[in-house]
Amino acid sequence: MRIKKKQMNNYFLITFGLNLATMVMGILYFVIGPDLIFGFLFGIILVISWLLDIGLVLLDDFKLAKNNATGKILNRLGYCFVFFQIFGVFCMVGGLFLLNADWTSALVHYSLIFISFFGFFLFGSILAYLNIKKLDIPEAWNFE
Amino acid sequence: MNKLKIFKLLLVIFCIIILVWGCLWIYLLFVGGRQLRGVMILLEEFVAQSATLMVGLCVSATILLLKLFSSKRIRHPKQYYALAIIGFTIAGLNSMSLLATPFTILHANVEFDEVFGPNWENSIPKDVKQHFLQTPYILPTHILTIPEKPILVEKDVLFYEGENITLYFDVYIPARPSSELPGNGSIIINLHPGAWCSGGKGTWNMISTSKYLAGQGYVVFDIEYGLIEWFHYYAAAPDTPVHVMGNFTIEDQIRHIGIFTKRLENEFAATYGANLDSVYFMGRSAGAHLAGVSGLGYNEEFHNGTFSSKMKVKGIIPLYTPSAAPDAFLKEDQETNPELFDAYAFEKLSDPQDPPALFFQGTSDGQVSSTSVETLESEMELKGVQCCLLIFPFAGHANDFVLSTNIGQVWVYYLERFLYLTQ
Repeated sequence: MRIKKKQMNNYFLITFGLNLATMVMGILYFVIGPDLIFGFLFGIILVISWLLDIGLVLLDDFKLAKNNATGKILNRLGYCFVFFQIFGVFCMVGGLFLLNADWTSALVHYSLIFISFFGFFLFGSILAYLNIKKLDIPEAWNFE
Repeated sequence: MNKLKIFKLLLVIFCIIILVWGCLWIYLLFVGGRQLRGVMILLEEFVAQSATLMVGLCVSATILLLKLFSSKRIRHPKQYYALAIIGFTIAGLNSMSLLATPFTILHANVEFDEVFGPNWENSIPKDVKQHFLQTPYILPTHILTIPEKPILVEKDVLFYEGENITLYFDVYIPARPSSELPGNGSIIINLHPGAWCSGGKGTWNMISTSKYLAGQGYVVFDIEYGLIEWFHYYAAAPDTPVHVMGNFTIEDQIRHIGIFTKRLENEFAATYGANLDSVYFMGRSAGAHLAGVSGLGYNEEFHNGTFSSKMKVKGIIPLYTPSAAPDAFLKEDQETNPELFDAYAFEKLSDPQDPPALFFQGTSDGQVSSTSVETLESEMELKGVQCCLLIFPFAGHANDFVLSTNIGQVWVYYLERFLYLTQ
């Protein structure tokens, strides 16, 4: 796959920016509520961020030099990110289902939802940021 | 084999388990639990509600597998990309319930147009609409939930003691004056599911819906009724309290609901600021049957004296409802006493004086077939009852548990409008 350093930098920057935007909109959601226009925009940004995060992990898998120390760290962070996503889905399902039950407090339900939602996009933005920072180490990447 | 290889092998197994799980979800989405029965009937109740999140799970598992097999990308690219296609296909098929949401909305609009006229949306004032969901579905609400409005909840209020049972209710009241809210203190009597022989108020009677409606200005009574102890259903509802079990029939259950309406008239309506001139019967599964019989039958000769004579029923809301009582649960069977059977069958009870009905039905319901509910709706319409049927493709039984899903949001969007338009 022929991707130039500049293109990768742009990809990481957009991913980083959209992950931050998703988190900000997530906070705003609890202020504004399920407003039609805001909700629609938030929905689009959320889906794009999620897809970019998936792309980020795959891109790292394609382009990182895994025998290099930095490349190895970023690759392992990618694994952790995917793990967190799986963990996050379980938390999300748990939070949403428990919200309807009267077994535990609302604090527990919302904590599960917040941890999975904000945790995922925070992790995504950190990974994107680290990719931007480490892009200047040529040994860590397999550029054509 | 070194530790890293063992760890990778475990990860591969973990991912495969998730993808197989995703396949099971697809099966239940498309077919429901009817064929496999057993535990599948119970699983089906969670499938469509969690299928969107299952997409995320399957995508993550696929990416993890692709990372684990990244060396195959160069040596065996066909295997690598086949893996990607399989994983993403499983994820994609799990999104069918979500992708069918526009169909649900279009169908619901047609149903509302038929009952309330093509301008029904414009007939709701703006100051009322501001309290409602603005759109039938948005993704962020699916994940971050519908924000809760302040309400008051009073639990375990005794309303009947006798026949060796005690019956309680939970009540959900708006914290703000109900006159400032769309509900205006209208009463919703919420009847729990459980095949007439199990279940109870609370968690399994969808607390989120009760809370949401209380936030809209409705006074929601989540009530118990006597349950048939001699029958054991293969998919019994959990958390059945012992204090409601007895040698009852459906006639007794309707009588218990009637007792509640009389106490509502004499005491509870005043205590909780509820409006007896606007009463709704809402129920799920067996509770939906009881809600239908109460709402359609309270003005029938047969049930004369059973219910409060002062309450005015404005609507019935049966979710995944059976259309009639099983013979075995009545004191006499249909052949011996057809009049008795008719007094507990929706179609026979229906007449033009009856209040409108809002039905909820999933197409993959393994316990109540969507065809039977569609037939019931047509029969009731022929008898002059205004009916709106909300059909949810790929949804199973009890799929309104989580209110923020694509199913829950669409349901609430039309439910709150139905309630306002029929008050």
